[in-house]
Amino acid sequence: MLSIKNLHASIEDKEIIKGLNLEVKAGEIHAIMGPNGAGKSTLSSILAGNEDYEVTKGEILFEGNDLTELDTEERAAEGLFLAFQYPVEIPGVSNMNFLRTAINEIRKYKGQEDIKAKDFLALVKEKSALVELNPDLLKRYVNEGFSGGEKKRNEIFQMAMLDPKLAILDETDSGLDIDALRIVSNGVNKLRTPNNATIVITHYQRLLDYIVPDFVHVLYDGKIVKSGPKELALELEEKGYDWIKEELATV
Amino acid sequence: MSAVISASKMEEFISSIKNSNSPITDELENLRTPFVNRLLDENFPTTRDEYWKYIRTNKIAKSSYSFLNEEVSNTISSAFVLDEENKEIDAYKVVLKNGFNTAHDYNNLPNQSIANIKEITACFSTELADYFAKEEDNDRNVFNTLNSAYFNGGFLIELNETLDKPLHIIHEISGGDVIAQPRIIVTSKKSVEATIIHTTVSDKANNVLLNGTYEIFVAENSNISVINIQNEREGVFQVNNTQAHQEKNSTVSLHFYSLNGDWIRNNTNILVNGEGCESNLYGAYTAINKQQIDNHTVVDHRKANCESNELYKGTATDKATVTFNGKVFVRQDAQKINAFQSNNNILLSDDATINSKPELEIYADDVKCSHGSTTGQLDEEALFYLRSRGLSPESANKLLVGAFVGEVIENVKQDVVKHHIAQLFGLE
Ligand SMILES: Nc1ncnc2c1ncn2[C@@H]1O[C@H](COP(=O)(O)OP(=O)(O)OP(=O)(O)O)[C@@H](O)[C@H]1O
Ligand SMILES: [Mg+2]
Repeated sequence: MLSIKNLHASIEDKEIIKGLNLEVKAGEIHAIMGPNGAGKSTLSSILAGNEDYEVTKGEILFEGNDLTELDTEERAAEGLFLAFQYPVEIPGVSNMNFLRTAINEIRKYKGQEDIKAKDFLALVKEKSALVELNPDLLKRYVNEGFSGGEKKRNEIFQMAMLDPKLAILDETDSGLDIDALRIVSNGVNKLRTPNNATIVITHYQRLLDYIVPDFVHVLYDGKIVKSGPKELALELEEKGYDWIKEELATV
Repeated sequence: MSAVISASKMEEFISSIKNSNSPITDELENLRTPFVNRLLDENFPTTRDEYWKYIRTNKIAKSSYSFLNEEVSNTISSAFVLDEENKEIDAYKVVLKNGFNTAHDYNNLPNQSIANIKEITACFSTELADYFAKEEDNDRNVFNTLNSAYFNGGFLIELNETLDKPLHIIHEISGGDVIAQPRIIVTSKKSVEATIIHTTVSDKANNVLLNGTYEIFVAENSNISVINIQNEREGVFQVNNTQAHQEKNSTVSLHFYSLNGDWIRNNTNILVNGEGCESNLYGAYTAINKQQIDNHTVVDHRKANCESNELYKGTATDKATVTFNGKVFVRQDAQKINAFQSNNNILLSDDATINSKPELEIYADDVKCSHGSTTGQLDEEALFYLRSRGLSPESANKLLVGAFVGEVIENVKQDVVKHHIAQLFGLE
């Protein structure tokens, strides 16, 4: 589904991603962990098509196609979804209007007709129930005045509405209370099919008790320096990142 | 400050206008004569005139306009203010065709007095002379003089009691090289509430100058809103001269929603002549192509204990020019005034121009005034967020612009009208 080879990327001439490789297949869940500032959010931004970052070397294939050739909205229409670490507040734009527009634009891209008002409402009802999102929040402007946890829940709700092939969840767990963590994780798990894949970026093993990954990767200094089974997350939780840094130093 | 006198030019400009105007009563003739005379000494402003720096009048000055009084079809071509089901809103309707009165519905206003301004008789309780061009514009604008000298239609409306639904004044514009100069005077009795909506339909216009003058006299305790929806096609030049006079404890709210069209100039004056008044000015605009939208406002606080709020917001894209010039006077005796003024713009292209000039002239010492003006870009982070959910840059832009001007539109009291304006701005 996603194949990243020797990716280098920089912002304002500062290289942040320094030769990163990652393969994600349909049906898989990958966890990416790594110290602050390692480049995790940068990687997600690049995947989503943020033009602030320049890809200087390497390739990103999504379903066999060169992702860098696509604009942000085309990537979304092709089935890529990023749940932001810091979802932006957009005063004046109503959640519902925004989502209906998003769905219709994606449908237009696929040559489909606009969603019927009734079907849209039914979908909203179903998916908001899935992540137990308070329907009152939907009447408000996008993320405006939402609590940290509400913003994160809204991200997963949007993900459920758009039903992507590949979802990247950038620290969706941070800011969620214990119940919300379980609810949101449940939502993610219910949305899981053999045809889609998820990348979860997290600092805490706790999330991975709920969303059980097939692979855990350590992103450090712009590269994936270690990959392993889900047990790797436990090891990181226990020992931190120093031992990996030491391992790297001895190579 | 006054432009070079070139009477021949102005004479030439008004010659065809004069000839095509229909006869009027002696009383009106007397009223307008000073303006006819004065007009000959005036000229169209140029960009050298301070208050006309950013909007070009040369195309108007060079045109040879005349009035066009065509038979009016019985059915109105389309509905103009639509509700959620796309049905025309429930309103009292008055239709002016190229500035001329039509018979359409205009005597259906219950318990109100309305008369064709050109047919006012002595029995009408209001003396036209008491209201017609009662006060000079602050910058003595030539378009206002032109209207006073050669208005070709309009009404005198006396609001005797609260209107149960809006009064919708429809300006139908058509033809080529046509000038339309409606003159509408609204007076109110005490404690009257009313909403007046002006819309323009201009499906078949080619170089039409719509130069309307609207005088509103808001009596004690009355509350009058005027909502101008300026949504023309290209080829229409619109000048809106609105002057509101407030008596004590009254409220007036003037709204200007400007989109499409070539050229829009709003000269808006509120003269606060009584204590305890509230004056609101709202404007939202999206200027595209080579459009010029120019809002000039004056709030003149002459009495104490009043409040004025002014909120203008909009965008300019392509090669459009947007101008805001808002002046607030607080006269010496006008203590305890709260005057707020804010103009926020978004520049959507490098070739567009935004001019914003809030001005305060304060002669009293116990006042609270604030003014602010900002010009910025759309929030890149928000744009990226919307696009990451599949919205094209165009749709994302539209949503964000809609959100930006939405803050102004929010102030429309009637939900159906608000909804209609929101839709025009692509907000819903
Ligand atoms: N505009 C920028 N200019 C310079 N450096 C930047 C810019 N944006 C990001 N960086 C740097 O890139 C590095 C990677 O940041 P990124 O947000 O990807 O880290 P992260 O792995 O997501 O960290 P965290 O765990 O704290 O979320 C950081 O050192 C950051 O300061
Ligand atoms: Mg991050």
